Amino acid sequence: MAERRTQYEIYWEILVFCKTPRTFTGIINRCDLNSKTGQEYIAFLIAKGYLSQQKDGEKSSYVATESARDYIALFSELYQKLFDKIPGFRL
Amino acid sequence: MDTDTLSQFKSEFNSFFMLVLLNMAFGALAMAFGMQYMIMAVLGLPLVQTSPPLQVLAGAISMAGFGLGFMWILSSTKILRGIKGIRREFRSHEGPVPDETLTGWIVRMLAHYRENKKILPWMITISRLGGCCFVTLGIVNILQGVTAWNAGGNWMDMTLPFMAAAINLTLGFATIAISIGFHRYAHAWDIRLDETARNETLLERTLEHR
Repeated sequence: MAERRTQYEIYWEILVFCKTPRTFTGIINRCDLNSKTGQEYIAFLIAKGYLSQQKDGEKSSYVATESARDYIALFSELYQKLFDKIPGFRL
Repeated sequence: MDTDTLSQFKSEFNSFFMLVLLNMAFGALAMAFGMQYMIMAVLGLPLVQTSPPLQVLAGAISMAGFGLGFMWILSSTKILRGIKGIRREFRSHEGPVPDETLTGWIVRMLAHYRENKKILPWMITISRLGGCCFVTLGIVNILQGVTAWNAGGNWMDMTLPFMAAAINLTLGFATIAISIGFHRYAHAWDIRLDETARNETLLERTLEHR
C-alpha cells in the first residue's frame, strides 16, 4: 500500500504512531516503508521539529513533539471532511 | 470523533463490500453459464438440430463468456482482498472510535481506491457487458417461448423458456444495477481524490512553514 499513499498521509501515520516512543524498525514496519524511504521521512520530520530522537544507551527511539499536534489535527479534520462534504455512495 | 462521519463511512464501506460480493456472485454465474453452454455446444447435446458451424460459433461465444466471467471474478477478488483488512478492523472495534483510527481507515480506503482506480472502469465495463449478455439471453428465451407457445406442445416446452427468461432478465438487470453502483462509487471517490489533492497545499504549508 506504501506507494499508494501521499507523502502527507505517510507523515501523518508516522506522527500518530510515534505518540509513544518507537524504534526505527517499528516505524517502518507499521507504516509499510522500506529502510531508505523511512529514513528520509523521519529525517524530514526531525528537521522540521515534529519528531525527536531519544537515545537510551545503544537503543534509539523516536517520539512526536508537541508541534506535531497541529498537523495531526489539521490532517484528521481535512480527511474527515471528505465524508462530511461530499455526497456519499450508497446501494 | 464525528459520529456522522463514522456512520457515513461505515454505511458506504458496507455498501461497497456488498457490491463487490454481489459482483463476484454474478461473475461466478456468468462463468458457470458460459461453461454450461460451452459443454453443450461442443457435445451438441440439447440443440442437436443446429449445424456444426453454429455449434462452433455457440462454443466460441460461450468460451468468451466463460473467460469474461473468470476475469470478472479475478478483478472482484483483487478489490475484495484490499478491503477485507479494513472491514475486519472496524467490525472488531469495540467502543467509541478515536479520531485517529477513523482517519486511518479513511487513509487506507483512499490508498485502496488509488490502487484500484484503473480496475474499476474495467469492472464497470465487464458488469455492463455481462448484464447485456444476460438480458439478450432473456430476450432470446422469450422469443423461444413465444415460438413454442404458437407451435403448441407439452406444458414444459412452453413454460421452461419463460422461466429461463425470468432468471436471465433478473440477472441481467441486477448486473447492470451493480455496474451503476460501481460507477457511483468511483464518482464519489474521484471527487474525494480531487479534494485530497487540493488539501495537500494546506498540509504542505503547515508542515513546511515552521
